[in-house]
Amino acid sequence: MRRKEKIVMLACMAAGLLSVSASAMHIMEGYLPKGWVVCWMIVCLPFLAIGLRRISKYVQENPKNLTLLALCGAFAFVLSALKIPSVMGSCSHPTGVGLSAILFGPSTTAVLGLIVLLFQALLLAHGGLTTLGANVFSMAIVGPICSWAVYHGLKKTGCPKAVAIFFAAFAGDLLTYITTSVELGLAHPGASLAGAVLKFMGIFAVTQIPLAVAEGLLTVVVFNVLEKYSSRELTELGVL
Amino acid sequence: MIGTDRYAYASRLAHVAPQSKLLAMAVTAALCLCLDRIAVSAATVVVMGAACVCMGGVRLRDFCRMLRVPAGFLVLATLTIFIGRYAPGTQMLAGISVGAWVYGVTPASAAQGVAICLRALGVVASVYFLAMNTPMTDITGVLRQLRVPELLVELMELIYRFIFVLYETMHRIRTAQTARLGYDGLRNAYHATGTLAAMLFVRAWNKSDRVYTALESRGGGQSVRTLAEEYESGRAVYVLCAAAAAVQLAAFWIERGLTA
Repeated sequence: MRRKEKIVMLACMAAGLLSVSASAMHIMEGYLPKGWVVCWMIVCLPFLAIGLRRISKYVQENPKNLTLLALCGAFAFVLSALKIPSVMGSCSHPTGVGLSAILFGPSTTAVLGLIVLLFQALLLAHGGLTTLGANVFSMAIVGPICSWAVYHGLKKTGCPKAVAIFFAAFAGDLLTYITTSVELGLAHPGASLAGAVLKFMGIFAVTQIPLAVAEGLLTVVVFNVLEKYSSRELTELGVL
Repeated sequence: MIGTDRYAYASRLAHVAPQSKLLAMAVTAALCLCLDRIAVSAATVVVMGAACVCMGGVRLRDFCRMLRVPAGFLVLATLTIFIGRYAPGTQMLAGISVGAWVYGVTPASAAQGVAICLRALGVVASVYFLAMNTPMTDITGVLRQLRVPELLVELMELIYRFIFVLYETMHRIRTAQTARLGYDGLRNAYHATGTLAAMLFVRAWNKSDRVYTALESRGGGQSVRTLAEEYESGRAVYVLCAAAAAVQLAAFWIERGLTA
């Protein structure tokens, strides 16, 4: 294989992958073997129990919070239908991981994420019922916790809020994608586990790293507008 | 109406007891996933596809189009399983050597990739049987019967209803933005998308205030209960479930017999 041919081939592959819809962060229905299906569901349970308990406390404090949380969940679902412009004219969908983690905190996000992912699996065929555990773990637990920690960590060091928000959303997306790669690598290790994880990370990096940057930028814009028009709501949530 | 929803309400099985459809989905998906054979997976796709088309009245074209939805993930992930790095001299279907290693597809990795693809499609077909024939409100009703925490079910029902309200709002805002050239150029597009998301959040927040007031003024308060629908008997679907499981098991024994 000549060097030139190789470069052309790689470029073609990259272009082909970019044109593939970037809802690729959801592990597809039936893609994980039965052992891992059960394993990831069990891993999620304690996080969901904590989240559910937190929500029930909110609702007891003020019944109004139930409709509020429900509308936040619906907001997260609709957010994933938005298109954000990404590299080379392709479009990708934001995950909303960073945004909801900063707005509602990681434990509430876990429960809302479970419901949103369930609806996405049933209504849109993004993700799946059998892979719900794995997807909840990467997108509604690991990503939000990371986003939340990065946001509060950076805010404490006194760096500008826009920078903190960008890196929170960026890191949340990035960690979600790394977790997904690890989940896929564990399920289909091939010759070596580390090799498989790196292989999945390499291939998904083509779509996911531009997406993480795009989502970071978008989250900053969203927050700027929110600060301008609805500081009352943000104060009630304890974000400001 | 979004995604599978538009088929679910039009399906001939829409008023059949949802428990039967949930059971048929669970049994066939579990068998497809656990037996994990190419013949079983192919049988699942065919049987559940036929059930959707013949019993539910979903058009074959619509079913095939829905099967193609997860194609993006399937291509990316299966490509990763297909291609690997091997020591020189390994038997390969296709490959290129780079440095000391050979990158390419071996017969084993190709077989594994095909098996996983088919298994995924089999489970997808089972889930579509549920999703394309059962309105979401029926599914949450069954979840309540299955003792899923009440709070979770209630949140699901509320979220499902609000999704459509917010979708409509989103489309209206987007139309207004597009009419003012909001998506012209990358910079504008980011600004417009960000504003759209933020405004959607503000609208959602205000809406929740009003919904709560409306609920409270009708004595609703915490929970929103509706009467369960009267369902037709699910006998035909139970028969389908047994038949599908029998076909899957038969496919399993035949393939094992052939390979042994």
